[in-house]
Amino acid sequence: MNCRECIDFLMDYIDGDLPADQRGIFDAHLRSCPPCIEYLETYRRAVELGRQSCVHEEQAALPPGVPERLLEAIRRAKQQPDD
Amino acid sequence: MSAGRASDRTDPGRAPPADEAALVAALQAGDESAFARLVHEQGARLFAVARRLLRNEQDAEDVVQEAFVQAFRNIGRFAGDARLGTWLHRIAVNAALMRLRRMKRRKEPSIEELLPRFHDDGHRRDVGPAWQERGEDVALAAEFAAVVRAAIDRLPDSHRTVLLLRDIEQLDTEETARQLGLSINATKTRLHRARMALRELIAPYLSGSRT
Repeated sequence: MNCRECIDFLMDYIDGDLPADQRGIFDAHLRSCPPCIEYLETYRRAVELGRQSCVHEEQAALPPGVPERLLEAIRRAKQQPDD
Repeated sequence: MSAGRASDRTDPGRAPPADEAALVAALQAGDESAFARLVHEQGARLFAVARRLLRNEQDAEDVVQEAFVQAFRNIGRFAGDARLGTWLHRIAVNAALMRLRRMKRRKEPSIEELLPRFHDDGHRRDVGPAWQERGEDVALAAEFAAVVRAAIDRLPDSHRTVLLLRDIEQLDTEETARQLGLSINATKTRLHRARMALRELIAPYLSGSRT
């Protein structure tokens, strides 16, 4: 296995989707390739940072005026028959 | 409506709290204060989901309105087999994706330049400096979160939507593929490429070459 193949199969490796024999080959490559270990770790970290960045966003309040407009839209829908 | 893996983030393996059943009953009875509570409790999360997919606050607000109106019209059929939050999340994601499809397609930048490059012998060309640990400072964390979100926004839509549905909204691969009209293999390939591109875009901020 070379680095290109290692990176091609990285997601399957992380997700545990590689068959045992391929996982063994993957592990052997990682043992001898610090740049691919570094890539694996930073790939995982990028995924985690992506998730964390959106948690911040969900904790923010709705912009001013939006809750009122949402409720008004529901009120209007109540007064109208279904589309 | 089925609950995919999205339920992981809102249905942490336990039954809905007793007051959710009461809330659903009040919603089904058309109680306006129940809808006000629903908007208060779920509005910000749905707005964030829609804004992430649409990258625009006005479109996000329109979509969240559509989602709440749909919820209002369909609450009578809500059977309680998923959490209310999961059900609403699914409605909002569907509405946002529908709007995204209707929007005029922008010419997509290529993702290729954000993917790893290799020498002929298969070794990686662009091995950069090691990433540094970031401190726990709350203000800096919020600032960096904005950097990461901006990086996600820079991904081509075809890849950005897969990353958002899988990694952020936590839909499973099958549901993501179904929502986007893709094969399972194409969904997996796009997710992997989107993650590699995101890694590339945030690398300068973590390796000290940008702050």
